[in-house]
Amino acid sequence: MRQHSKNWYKLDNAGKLYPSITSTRVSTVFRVSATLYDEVNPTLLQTALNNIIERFPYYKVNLKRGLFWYYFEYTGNCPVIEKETFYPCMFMYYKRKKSFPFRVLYYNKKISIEISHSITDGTGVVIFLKSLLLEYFRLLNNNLCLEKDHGIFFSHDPIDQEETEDAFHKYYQKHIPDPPKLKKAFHFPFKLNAKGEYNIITGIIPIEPLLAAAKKHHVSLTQYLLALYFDTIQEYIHSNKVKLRHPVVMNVPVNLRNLYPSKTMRNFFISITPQIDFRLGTYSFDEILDYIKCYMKMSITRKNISRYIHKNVKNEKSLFVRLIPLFIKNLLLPVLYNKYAERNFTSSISNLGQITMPKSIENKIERFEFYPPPSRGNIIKLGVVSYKDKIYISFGSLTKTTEIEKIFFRKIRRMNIPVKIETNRE
Amino acid sequence: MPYCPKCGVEIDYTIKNCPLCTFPIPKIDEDTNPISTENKFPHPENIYYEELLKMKNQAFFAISILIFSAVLVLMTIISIFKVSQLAITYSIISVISAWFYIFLFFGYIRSKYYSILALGFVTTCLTYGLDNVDKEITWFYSYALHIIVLSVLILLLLLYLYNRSKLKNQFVFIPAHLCIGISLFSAALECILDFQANRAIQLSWSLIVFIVLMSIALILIGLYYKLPDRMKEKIKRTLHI
Repeated sequence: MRQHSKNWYKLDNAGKLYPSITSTRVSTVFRVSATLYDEVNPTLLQTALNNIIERFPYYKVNLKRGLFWYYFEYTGNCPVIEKETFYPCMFMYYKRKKSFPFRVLYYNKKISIEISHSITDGTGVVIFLKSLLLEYFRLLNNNLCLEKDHGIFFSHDPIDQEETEDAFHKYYQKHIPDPPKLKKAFHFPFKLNAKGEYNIITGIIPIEPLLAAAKKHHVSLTQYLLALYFDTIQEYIHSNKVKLRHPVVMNVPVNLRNLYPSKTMRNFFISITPQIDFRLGTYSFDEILDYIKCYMKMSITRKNISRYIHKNVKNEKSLFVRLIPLFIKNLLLPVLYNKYAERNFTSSISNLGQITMPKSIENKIERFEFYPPPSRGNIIKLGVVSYKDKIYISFGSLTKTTEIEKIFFRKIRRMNIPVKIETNRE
Repeated sequence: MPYCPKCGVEIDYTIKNCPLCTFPIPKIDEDTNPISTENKFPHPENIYYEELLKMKNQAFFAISILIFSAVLVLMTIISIFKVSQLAITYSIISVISAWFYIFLFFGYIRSKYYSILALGFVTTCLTYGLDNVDKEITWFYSYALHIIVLSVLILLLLLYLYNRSKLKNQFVFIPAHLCIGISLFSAALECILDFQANRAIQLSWSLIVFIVLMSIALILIGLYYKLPDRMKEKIKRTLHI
C-alpha cells in the first residue's frame, strides 16, 4: 500500500484552500447521512468503521503543518464514532494532533459522516458512507448477498492508485486562457445566528412529479431546482422591495468525474456560476429555465471547465505563492477567499444526485440527506440528494429567517407536489 | 400527519409551529401514528461555547502559572539579593492585580454589572496597595477613590442605557454613548482634580471636551432617531448627486 513507501501526501488543488480559511463560522465541513429503519448499533458501527477505513487509507490521516503548505500524514489510529449532540456541520479541530478530518456520528436510526472539504468532495464521501453502510449491514447479517457496483468499495477490494491522484493536476493544461472574472453578487440581508448554530430545513418530496415537471421543460432536475431557487430569490426581492445593487449569482459545483475519466476519491469539482440580474426586470419562470438550460449547456464542457482547472492549478503552481510561509497564507487566504469567491456568490446549490444501494440492503435504509457546509458569505445554501422515490432538499442556513425556504417550498406545493418538512430548529 | 394550513407542507408531530412560517400547527391525536413522533435531530448543543470555554480555561491556566511564577521570582529576588524592596513590592502588587484583571477580562463573572463592580473593587485594592507601600496614604483617599467611584458609576450608567435603549445600530450607539461617557468623565475628573488642588471648582479643558463630545453624541442620536421627514427630504434635496 501507498503508506508503506511514503507516509504523507499533499492536499489536492481545491483542498489546499480549506484549512486556511476554516473558522468557527466557516467550518468547510459538510454532512452526508443515512437514516435506517432500525436503531443504529454503535458497537457494530465502530467495528464496521475500523474494517472499512483500511480500504480508504487516504482518509485515515491527520492534517499537519509544513513550512509552506499543510499536508496529510497517514496514521495508525482509528477514528472513533461519536453520538450526535451538536448542530450539524460544526467546525472540527482537525489541525490538532491525532484528529481526523472527518467524524462518524450516530443518533437513533441515523448514521452521518461530517467531513472537511480539504480531503474530499460529495462524491468521495458518498462512496465512503455507502461502503461503511454495506460493511455495517454485512456485520449485522453474515448471510447478506451483496452484488458489486453501485459505486461501493468492499473492505477486501484492492486499492486503485488512481483513487489518490490529484485530478486537477492530471488534467491541467498550461497554455489556455483564464475564465472571466466574477463581480460582487447580491447577498441576503439577514441577521447571522450566534456562533455554533446552524439551522437545517429539509423538504422531503416525491421525485416523480418533480422529474416530470423537469422533463416537461426538457431540463435536468438540477436545472429545474436551480430555476426554482432563482425564482424564489426573485420573489423574495420583489415582495420585500429589497434594494438590488448586484446580480444574483449561484454557485453550482460540477462533479468533474463525469467529464474526465478519473477515479479520484479526493476533491474533483469546479463551481460554475449562473447569474441573473433582476435589476433588468421581472423574469418569468420559463425565461429563467431557458437561461439556465443554455448556460449549463455552454458551461459544462471540457473546454470551458479546463479554463477553471487551469486558473486554479496555475495559482497553486506559482513560485511566488508557493514560497509564502504557511502562517502568512493563513492570514491572507481568508481575505482572498472572501474577495474572489464568497463575495461573488449569492448562494449555492449542490446536487449529489441519485444514490443507489444493492438490492439486499436498499430496503434497510430509509433515506440519505446532504447538508451543505455553513459559510459566512453565503448564509443560505442548498444541498440535494435523491434516494429511491424521494428527493431530499436541505437548506443549510446561518440565519433564523426562513423567508427563502418558505417561498421555495410553497412554490413546490403550488405545483400540487406534496412536501414534508423536517428541521433541527427549536 | 399534521399540515401547516398556510404553507400546505406536512410536518412532524413533535413540531408545534410551522418551521417555514412559524404558524401554530393545529393539534392532531398523536396516538394514531406513534412512529412519527420520534426525534430526527438531537436537542442541539452549541459546540462554540464549549470549545471557547475549554480554550479560555487553558489560556487562563497558563497565564495563572506565569503570574504565580513571576510572584515567586520577585519574592526570591527580595530574599536573596539586596534590591530596593519598594520596587519589588510595587511589582508584586501589580502582577497580582493583573491576574484579577485577566480573570475579569475572560468573562468568568457572567453579569456585566457585577463585572464592572468587581473591576472597581480590584482597582481600589490596587491603588490602595500601591499608595500604602511606603506605609503612608497620600493620594488614595483624595484622588484615586473618587476617580474609581466616578468611573464605575459612569460605566454602570452606560451599560444601563445600552440595555434599555431601543437604538441597536452599533455604528451609532457605541460612538454616541462613548462620547457621552467620556464627556461626563472628563468634566467630573476636572472637578475632582480642581477641588483637591485648589479647594474650588473652575472648569476649563473639560468644558471644551464636554461641549464637543456631547454635541457629536446628540447629533448622532438625533440624526438616527428623530430627524423629521421634512428635514430628511431637505437634506436629500440639497445633497443629491
